[in-house]
Amino acid sequence: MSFLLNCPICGTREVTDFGFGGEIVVRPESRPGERELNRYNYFRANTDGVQREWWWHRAGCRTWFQAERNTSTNEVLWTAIAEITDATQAPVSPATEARAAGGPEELR
Amino acid sequence: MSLAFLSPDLAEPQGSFTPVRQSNIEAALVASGAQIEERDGWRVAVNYGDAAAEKQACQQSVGIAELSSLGITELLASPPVVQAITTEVAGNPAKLGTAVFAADAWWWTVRPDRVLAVTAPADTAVMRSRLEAAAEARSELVSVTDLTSVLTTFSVSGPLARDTFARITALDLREREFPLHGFQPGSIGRVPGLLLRQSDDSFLHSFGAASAEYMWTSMIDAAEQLGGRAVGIDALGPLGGALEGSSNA
Amino acid sequence: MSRLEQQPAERIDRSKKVKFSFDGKSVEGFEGDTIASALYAQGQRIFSRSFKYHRPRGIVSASGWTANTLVQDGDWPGIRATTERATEGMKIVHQNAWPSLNFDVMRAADLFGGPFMPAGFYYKTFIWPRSAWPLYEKILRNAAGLGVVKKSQAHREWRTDYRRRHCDVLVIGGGVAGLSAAIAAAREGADVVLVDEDVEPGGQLLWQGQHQRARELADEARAAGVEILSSAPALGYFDGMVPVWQGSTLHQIRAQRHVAATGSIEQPLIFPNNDLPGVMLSTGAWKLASLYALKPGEKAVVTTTGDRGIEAAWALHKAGVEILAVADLLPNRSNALTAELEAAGIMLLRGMSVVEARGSKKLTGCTIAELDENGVAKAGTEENFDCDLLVVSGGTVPASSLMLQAGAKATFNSQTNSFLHEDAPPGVHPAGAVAGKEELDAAALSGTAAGAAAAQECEFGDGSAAKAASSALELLPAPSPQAPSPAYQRKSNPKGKAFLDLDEDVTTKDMKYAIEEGYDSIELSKRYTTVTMGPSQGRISQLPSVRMVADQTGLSIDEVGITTARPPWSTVPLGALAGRPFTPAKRTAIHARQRELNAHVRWAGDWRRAYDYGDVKAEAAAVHNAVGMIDVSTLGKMIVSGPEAGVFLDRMYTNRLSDLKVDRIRYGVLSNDAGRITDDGTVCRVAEDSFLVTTTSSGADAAESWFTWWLAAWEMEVHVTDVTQGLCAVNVAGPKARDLLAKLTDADLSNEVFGYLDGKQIQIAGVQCLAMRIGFVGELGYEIHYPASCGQYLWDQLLEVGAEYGIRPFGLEPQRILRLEKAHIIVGQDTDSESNPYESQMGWIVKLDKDEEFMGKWALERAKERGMTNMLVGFKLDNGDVPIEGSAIVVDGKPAGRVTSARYSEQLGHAIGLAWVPAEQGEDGAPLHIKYGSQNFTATVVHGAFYDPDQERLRS
Repeated sequence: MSFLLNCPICGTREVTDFGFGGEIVVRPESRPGERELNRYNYFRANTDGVQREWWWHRAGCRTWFQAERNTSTNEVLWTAIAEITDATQAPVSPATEARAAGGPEELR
Repeated sequence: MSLAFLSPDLAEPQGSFTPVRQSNIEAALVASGAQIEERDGWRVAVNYGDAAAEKQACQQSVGIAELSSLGITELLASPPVVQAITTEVAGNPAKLGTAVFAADAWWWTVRPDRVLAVTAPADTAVMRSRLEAAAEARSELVSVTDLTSVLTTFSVSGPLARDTFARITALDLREREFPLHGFQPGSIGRVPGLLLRQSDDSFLHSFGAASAEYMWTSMIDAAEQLGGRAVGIDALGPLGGALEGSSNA
Repeated sequence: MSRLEQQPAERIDRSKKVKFSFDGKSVEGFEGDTIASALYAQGQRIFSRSFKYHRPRGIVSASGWTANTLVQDGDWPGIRATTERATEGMKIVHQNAWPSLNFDVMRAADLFGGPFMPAGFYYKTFIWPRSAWPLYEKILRNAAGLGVVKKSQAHREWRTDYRRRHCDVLVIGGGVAGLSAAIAAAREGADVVLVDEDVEPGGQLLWQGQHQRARELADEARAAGVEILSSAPALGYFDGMVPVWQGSTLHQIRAQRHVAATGSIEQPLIFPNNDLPGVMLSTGAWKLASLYALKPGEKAVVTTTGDRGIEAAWALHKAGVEILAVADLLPNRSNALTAELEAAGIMLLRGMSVVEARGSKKLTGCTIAELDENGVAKAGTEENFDCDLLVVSGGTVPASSLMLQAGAKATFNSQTNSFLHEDAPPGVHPAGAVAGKEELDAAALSGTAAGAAAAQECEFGDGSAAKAASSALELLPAPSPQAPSPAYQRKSNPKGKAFLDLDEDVTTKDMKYAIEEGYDSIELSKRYTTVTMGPSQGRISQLPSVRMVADQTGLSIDEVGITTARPPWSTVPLGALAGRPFTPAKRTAIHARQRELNAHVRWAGDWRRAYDYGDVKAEAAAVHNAVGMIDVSTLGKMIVSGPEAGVFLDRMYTNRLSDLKVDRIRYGVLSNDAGRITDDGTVCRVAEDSFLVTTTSSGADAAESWFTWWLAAWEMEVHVTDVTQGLCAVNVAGPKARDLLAKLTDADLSNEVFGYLDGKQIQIAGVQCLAMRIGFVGELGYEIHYPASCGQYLWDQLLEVGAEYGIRPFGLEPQRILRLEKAHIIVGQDTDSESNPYESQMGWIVKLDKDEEFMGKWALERAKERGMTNMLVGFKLDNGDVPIEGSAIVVDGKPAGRVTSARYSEQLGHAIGLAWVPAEQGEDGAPLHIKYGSQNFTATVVHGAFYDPDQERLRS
C-alpha cells in the first residue's frame, strides 16, 4: 500500500505521511439509548468500496481532514478540511487505536 | 501572552548562577569534532576544525550545520488575523507553500492559522515582543508561543543538498515543485519535518528536538556518502539566503 | 576454449582480463564478461544441479530466466551468473550439488525407480511426526539448496541506500519501445526516467545486430533529458510506486504516468530431456555468440515456431556454428528469412519439431518429427541428429508482471500464441511486446505513441505525436505467423522426463498427477506442484504449465487463466528493501548527561531512557530518605489556551477543570466515548486562559491528535500547541527536595505559599521554570518544567547543589517501585482498552454531574449503573516472593484475573502489586491466589496506597 493522499493544506504526499482516523461515524447529538450508543461505539460499516473517512497529516501540518476513498482500489476521490457545524459527525478514538497498536505503556 | 518557562532567552544570571543555552546534541557535535563557542548567548558549533573544507563542502558537495539556537516563535490565530498580524509586523502577508524573509525573520506558513517566525538568536526576544504586542492589540484569540527549544534546525547546503534529502525523504524537491523559498511540511527521515529552500541550493530543515541525535547521525551519514560533511555556522551564509549573486534574492 | 573472432556487438574488452575463482579453480575472462560467459569460454557446461532430481543444468536463456545458473559469491547467494558481470577476485561457488557438479549423489532421485519424488512429495512425506520437523527442515534445506545465507548480521559488511526520485513519466524497460517512449515523452517536455535491467539500454537490439541503433536511441534519449538507470531492474508496482534496485541503491520512483515496455520472454518447447545442458533458447545461444563472442555449440539443430528461431539460426551460422537443420513447426512459412537460409544450403524442415533430446550430462543428439494434433511424432517422419546444441524457440510472451501487478488482465491470443493485456490501469501505458507489438518497427511506434500519450496526460504536448505514431502503426503489415505449439511433444513411446519448470523440477507427469488428484485449477496445481514458484517466477514455465492444464482438462487457455507473479520481479537482497536503518529514536536534552552517569538505557516507546543508574535499591532509597531526581521530559506536554480552553478540557476529561484556579494542578483521566481510559496526566492552569496539560510519554502524539480532532469537529475557540520536545521536565523528589530547591531559587517554597498541587512559575538557577508540586513517587516533590535548551545546565546545577543533600539521579525502574508503593496506575500497563475508571478504582475522578457532556459520559453512566464485574486492586505478599507480571489470579482453580504490576518494596519490606480480580474477590483484606506455571502465591488485597496512605509526606 503506497498510494498518495492530497493534504488540503500541504498538497500531495505519500500515505505514510498521514494518520488514519477511520470511517466517519455520527456521534449522537444527545444522550443515546443503549443500542444507539453501542452502535456508535462498536459498529462500523467496513465498506468494500467508497467510504468517507478521517485522516490527519501526522508528519506535516497535523491538520485533520476528510477523504473519500475506495477501500478496494485505494483510489482517493477527494480530500477536504472538515466543515462540521452540528458536532454530529465526530471521530471515534485515535487514542484507543494508537494504544491498541502501540503495546504496553512504559511510563506515565 | 507567552509563557516564560518556554523561553530559553529569558534565562539570566541569578546570584552565582549563569545559565547556559546549548544544543541538546552538543555532545554528539563535539564527538564529530565541533569547536564550541558562545555567540549571542548560545553555545554553538562554529566549526569542525577545518573552516576551508567546510566552506568548500557547502559550495561543492553538501555541508550540514546544527542551528538549534535559531529562534522560532509560533503565531496561532484565525487566518485573517494571521494575515493582519504578519502584514503589520513584517509588511508581507504569509502564504502557504512559500516562505517570506522579512523583518529579519523567515515567515513559515504551516497552516493558514499557524505561522512560525524564524529568527537569528539575537532577534528572537524582540520578535516575540512584537508579536505579543500585536496579539494583545486584537480582540480575537491570538496565541504567541516560543518554540525555540521545541524544534531543532539543520542547515543543509550545497549542490548535493537535494541528493542528500532524496536519501531520507519522499518530498519532491525538484525545481518545479520546490522553487526558491518553497516551504513544505512533511516526513523527513520518518520524523515530521518542516523544510525551507533558503537559497538556490541551501535548505533549512526543522523537526522535533528530541529526534536531533538520530537526525544528525542519519543526515551526516547520507551526506558523507556524497562527499559532504558537518560544518560549523561560520561556513554558512546569511539566514535570509544568498545575498550576493542570487538573481532571486 | 577460444573465442570467436571480434563480433560487431561484443560486450567484452579483450585488452582487460578479469580473474576470479569457481569452486576453487581459477577462471580468467575479459572485462565485460558475465560470470557465466567467462566460465563458458573455459568449457564449463554444467552450472548447477536441479532442485529435486539433481540433474545437470546449463545455460538456457543467458538472461537470468531460469535458476539453472544461480551461483554464490562469497556470502552472497542467488547471483545470476548469466547477467552478473565477472569482477576481479570473486569467489564463485555452485549451488545445490553435493559433493560436486559432476558427481551428485542426489541424482539417484532421478535415476532410480518409479515416481520417487512425485508432485506433492514434500507435502506428503515431511509432515508427521511434528517432532521431527527440525530434522526435516535440515533435509529440505540441503536438498533444495538455493545457496547459503550467513546467519549472523555481523557479517553484513555492505550498505544499501535509498533514493527517492519523482518524475512525470517512468519508462520501465530500455528496449526499442522503451527508448522510443522515453524520447517522445521527454521531447514533449516531461521529466522522464528510464530504468533497464541490462548494463546498457537497447534490449534485443543490442544482440540482434542492431546495437548501433540502440546506442543512437540511447544518445537521443539522454539528449532529450531522460535520466537512464542501467543494471536497474524494477521490482514491482505498488499503487504507482516503483522500487528499482541498482547496485546498492534502492530507487523509489514515484511517477505520474508509467510506460510498461518490459519486453518479452522467449518460450521453450516441452519434450523429453528438454533440460539437458546444450538445449538453449534462441535468445541464449544468440546472446552468447553476439555479446560474448562464444560459440554456443559446434553442431546445432534449431527448432522453432516462428521467425525468431530462423533469425537466430542465420546469426549462428554466420558466427560459425554448423546448422544441421532448422525445424519450423509452421508447415508453409516462406519469406525473406527462409529464402536466405535455403540459399545458404541450410536444411529447412517445415511442419516439423523436436520430439526428444538425448544425452546424459550434456546434449548429444535429438530427434525431429512431424507432430499429430496431440504433439506425438507421426510414424515414419522421425529424423535423428547428432548435435551438441539444440536451439529452441517456442514464441514469446510479454514480460508483463508489472502490468498485472498494476491490475491489468491477460488474455490469450491464439493468433500470436501469446498473451495480450487489457484493462491496463489508468496511467499505465503498455508499449512494445507488452502491447502486442513485438516486431521492431511496431515496437518503436507503439513506444512513441505510449510515451507521447503519457506526457500528454501530465499536461505536456497536445497528443499529436501520439496520434501520428498510432496511425503509422495501423499501416504496418501483420506480424509473421506463429505455429501453435502443443503442450507436450514427444515420440509415441517417450523416454525421459520433460520439464515444465526447470527451477522447481516440475515435469509433465507431475502436472498430470496433480490434475488427476483433483488440483485441476492453475491456482491449485501451481501450489501443489510449485510450478512457476521458483526464483525465476514462471518466466519460461508459466505458459507451458497453463497449456498443460488446458490440455489435460480440455479447457481453453483463457479459461485456465494465468497467475500473477508477485513482487519482487527480480532477485533482490532483503537488506535492500530494509534500506538504511532509520529508527527515529527520541532522546531528551539531558540524555547525553545520563549516559555519562552510566545509566542503563532502554527503549521506552520511541524514547531512549535511563532505566536505572546501576543501583535500583539505593536510587529508590534516596527518594525516601534524602532527594532523588528523574528526567521525565518524555511526558507529553501541550499548551491549551483560549477563552473556551476550560470548557474544552471539561469535555475531554472525566473530571472538572474549568474551575481550576490559576497556579493550581489537577490530575485528570482521558476517556473515549466507550468509557475506557485512554490516557492520564496532570493539568496545570498557568494563566487565566492557558493550561499546561501533560500526558503519558507514549500517549503524547495520540492525545494531541485526539484534542485537535475534536477541535476540528467542534470548532471551538481553543489553541493547542504541542511543546513536548521543547520542555525538559525533572522530578526532584524526597524529604530534602525543598531544602535543595531553596538553594537555587529566591521564590518562597514554604508549604503555606507553595503547597501540594500548586504549580508556580519561578526562576531556578536563573532559568524560568514551571514548578509543579505533584507526587507520582509518593514523597514531597517538584516536577520542574523548563526550556530544553537549558536542559543540561539546570540538571547539572541540581546535581551539584544537591550533593550535600545526598541527591541521586534515579531511573525508570526505581520510579516503578516508588509509584507502586502509592498504588498509582500506569495507563496501558495496569489498564487496557477495556478498563473504565470505576473498575480501575478511580470512580472519584468521574464527575457525572458536570454541565458539559464530556467524552465517555454516556457509557460511564451505564458503567456506574451496571456496577463492577472486575476491579483493579492492590495486593501484598509477606514472604518476599514476587510474582511475575502477567501471572494469573486463580479462583476455584480457574484463571479469573491477572497481575499487572508487581515489585519488591525495600521501603515496605514486602512485595506489592496491582491485579485485576473479579469484583467479589476484591474486598480489602481478602486473600488472592496467584499462579504462574507451577509457582503458587498467596497474597492479600490492599485498598489504597501501600505507603503514606494519608499523604502526610506528600503534603509536608
